[in-house]
Parts: sequence; C-alpha cells; structure tokens
Amino acid sequence: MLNCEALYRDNSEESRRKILSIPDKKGVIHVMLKGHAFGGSSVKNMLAQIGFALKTYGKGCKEFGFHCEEFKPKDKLSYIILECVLYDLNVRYGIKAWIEFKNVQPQIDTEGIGNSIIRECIHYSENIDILKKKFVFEQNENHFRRLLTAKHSSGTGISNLLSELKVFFLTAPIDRERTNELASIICELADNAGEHAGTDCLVDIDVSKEPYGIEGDDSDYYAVNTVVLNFSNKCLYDDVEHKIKERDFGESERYGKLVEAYENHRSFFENKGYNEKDFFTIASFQDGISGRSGETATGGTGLTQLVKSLESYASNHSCYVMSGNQGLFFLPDLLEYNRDNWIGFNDKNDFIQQKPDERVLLRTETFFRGTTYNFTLIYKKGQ
Amino acid sequence: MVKEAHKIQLQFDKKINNLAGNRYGREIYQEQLKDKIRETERYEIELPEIIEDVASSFIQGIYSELAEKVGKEKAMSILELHSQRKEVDEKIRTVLRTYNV
Repeated sequence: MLNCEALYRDNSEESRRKILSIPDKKGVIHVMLKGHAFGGSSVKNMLAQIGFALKTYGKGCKEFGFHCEEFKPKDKLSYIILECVLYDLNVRYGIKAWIEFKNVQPQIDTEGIGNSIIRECIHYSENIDILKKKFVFEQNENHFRRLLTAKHSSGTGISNLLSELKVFFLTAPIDRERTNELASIICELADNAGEHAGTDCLVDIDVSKEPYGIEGDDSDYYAVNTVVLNFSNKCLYDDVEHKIKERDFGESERYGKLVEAYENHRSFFENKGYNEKDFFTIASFQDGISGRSGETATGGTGLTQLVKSLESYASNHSCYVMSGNQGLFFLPDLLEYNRDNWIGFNDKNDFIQQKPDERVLLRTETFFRGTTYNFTLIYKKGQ
Repeated sequence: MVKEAHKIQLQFDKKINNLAGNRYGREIYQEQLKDKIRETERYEIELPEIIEDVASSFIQGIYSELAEKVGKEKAMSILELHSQRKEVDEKIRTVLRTYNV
C-alpha cells in the first residue's frame, strides 16, 4: 500500500522553525497553505505540519483541513503528491483529510487536476471505498490512473500495462509512434520501481481535453502530462552508490571506468552545487550500469534515448526525475551517448572527465524518499 | 562453416499481445531457454505472430542472464531473437543495435 510516512518524517525539520497548527475543540487541524504556487516550500510546509500533528497529538488528531485561496500547482507532480497525502491520511491513518480552495488555476501542464481526487476529497472522505477505487484505478478519454503493486507488476503485469496504455492512447490526438514511445517509457519505469524498490508504483497520465493555442499561431496544441511515482525506503542513487563504494562489481572494466569517473568528479563536488548524489543519479542512467547486486554486463536503461526521441517531436516539454532533494532535467541537447556509450549530460558528451551542465541539476525543498518522473510534453495537433 | 541455428518458439498466454518488462524477459529466459541452450550452438528464438509489440526492456531482460555469463556480444550471437511480424522484427534489430544489449 502507498505509504507517506517517510514523507512526513523526512520533511519535519521545517516544524522546528514554523508556527504549527494545533487541533481545535473537535480535533481538526487546520493548515493554511500560503503562497500562490503550490509546490516546493508549500508542499514541505504541509508535510511538516502533518508530521508534527501525527507525532504530537496522536489520536487527538481527528481531521485535517487544508486551506488555500488560489490553488495553482507548480506542475503535475505537485498535486499528485497532495493526492497521495490525502489518500494516505484518509485510508491508511483513517483520519479524515480534505482541501478547500476558493479558486483553482490549472495550466496546460496541470489540467489533469480536473480529474483529481483533490477537488472532491471532502466528499470522498465520507465514503472511503469510493476514494480507494478512484485512487487506484481510473480510465476515461483524458485520464489514465493505475496503482501497481510490486506483485502485480511482476510476471505479465508490465505487458498488460503496455496493452492498456496503448488502448488509452488510441483516442489521443497525437501521433501513434509518440504515444507508443511514451507507453514504453512508462512501462520501463514501472518495471524498475517494482524490481528495485519493491514498492507500489503510481502511474497517472492526463491528455488535454481541448486544444490550447498560442498567440500568433493558428495551430492547436495538446499536452500529455505523466507522473510515474514510487515511495520506497531508498533513493534512485542509493544502489549504484552502494555498489561503487563497496566495490560490488568484481573485475568489470565498465565499473572500473565508473570508479575512475567518480575519482575525477570528486574535485567538482560542492556543498550547494553539483554533489555526490548527482553523480550517482547520473551513473544510474549509464549504459551497462545497474544497481542490481552481482550484475555487471547489463543494466542502465535506454530511457534517456527514448526521452530524447519523445522530446524531439514535442513543441515544448519539461521532463525530469526527482529523488531525495534533487534530480535531473532531461534536456534533449544533453542526452547524447558518446562512442563509448557514456552520457555526460554536458555539451562535451563527456561523463568520465567533465561534470554535468548546471542546467540539468534539479533541486527541491521537499525530500522525496523514492523516485518520481514528471513528463510534460506538448504536441502540435497531428504531430 | 557457420552452424545452422536451432529454432525455439517462445510460448505466451494467449491474452498477451505486447511484451514489456526487464523482469519478465529474464523470467522467460529462465523458464523457456536456459535449460535448452548450449553456448557452443546458435539459436533462433521466435516470437509468436500474436505478439504485436515488444518493449526494449523485455528484450534486454531476455539477454540479461546470458550476457552476464558470456558477455553481450557472445550472448547475441548465441541467441537471435526474431518475430514473424516485419515491424516487430525491425524493432528488435533496432533495439539490439541501439542499446547494445
């Protein structure tokens, strides 16, 4: 089952410095979500408040009410995390939890909020069965949602997911080859989550209902927004970091080269800039590198090549991976493998000697224990 | 003289028409290939015609265990994955070439 306990615990530092909500006479904790955009610090503040309340008040905490004037999620992942938290509180903790906002401002990359449990959570929390069903499975013309357990994603589970995704995308106004590529990426990520993390994986996709336009341009544009998310007890970089630091790779030349890269990169590490976790995150995308113990000849993924292809046909895009406090932006001009099949995420295509371009480094205030991918792809109609 | 390849047709549940997942690829190798192959021989591994698409993750999974043992190049010379569908066969060739399985 999806479990957000680590989210509250890992983001509790904020609680030492902020004014924290106390329960009213009915045991309701009211949390004011300030700020125009919901993401970053507002997510962290919300998580800190929840963690503090659960720890401090225990059973005295009967209900959570989150209040927001203007709800404008920063991107799809921001509101998906909120969904997970609302689900976790209502279902796993059995504590009624809802959000109230006066105005929602969806953008092209957050249009999916129209299908989200967030808006109706105040009603769903009266009927938990409806909330559970809607959270784990939904499919209509514009929205695809699956919560895959680690067990269901084994065996033919991922093959079934691929078939279901292809059926979903049949009605999307986007070229079939693009949607097939996206379906393949999603399946690969869900497969990885089940294998490496052994946890549930949430897949959520929304396709624009109506086209968007750009001033001065007669074309219609559609967005495909995707989140693939799994909570686990480790971050993306952990397995490869362990393998390198424990020298768990036998006599492999490939891993020997990775160690060489690590030694070269150590001189680049900074407190606030490029750091060791970034290095191991990038290492996990290298061809022939795997976090799987005992495996040295295979691994890494073709993910970056698939993402590059996907982005090359999109008019606009924002694709990233996030784990811990950091992650990587997939910038198409920096997704090139060199002739030795290393990917440097820099304009020299040099992983062994050069640090990555600063633009690919993602930083977030919220600590996310697990791995999540956010893909926003905007296509011209018929592209 | 190049040895003639032995043919092995893979079997899947009739409800499956897309193949995906590294783990599933490895599972199929263990269940249907591992005990049948010898590293000194060549094998043509045939996907049934009902399979419309195969993801790169599955292909990588099929070769994974053998590649760990004998190296990628040797694994690819021992096992040649094919499909009766032209577009699927082309995709397999592209994946094997591009991702250097």
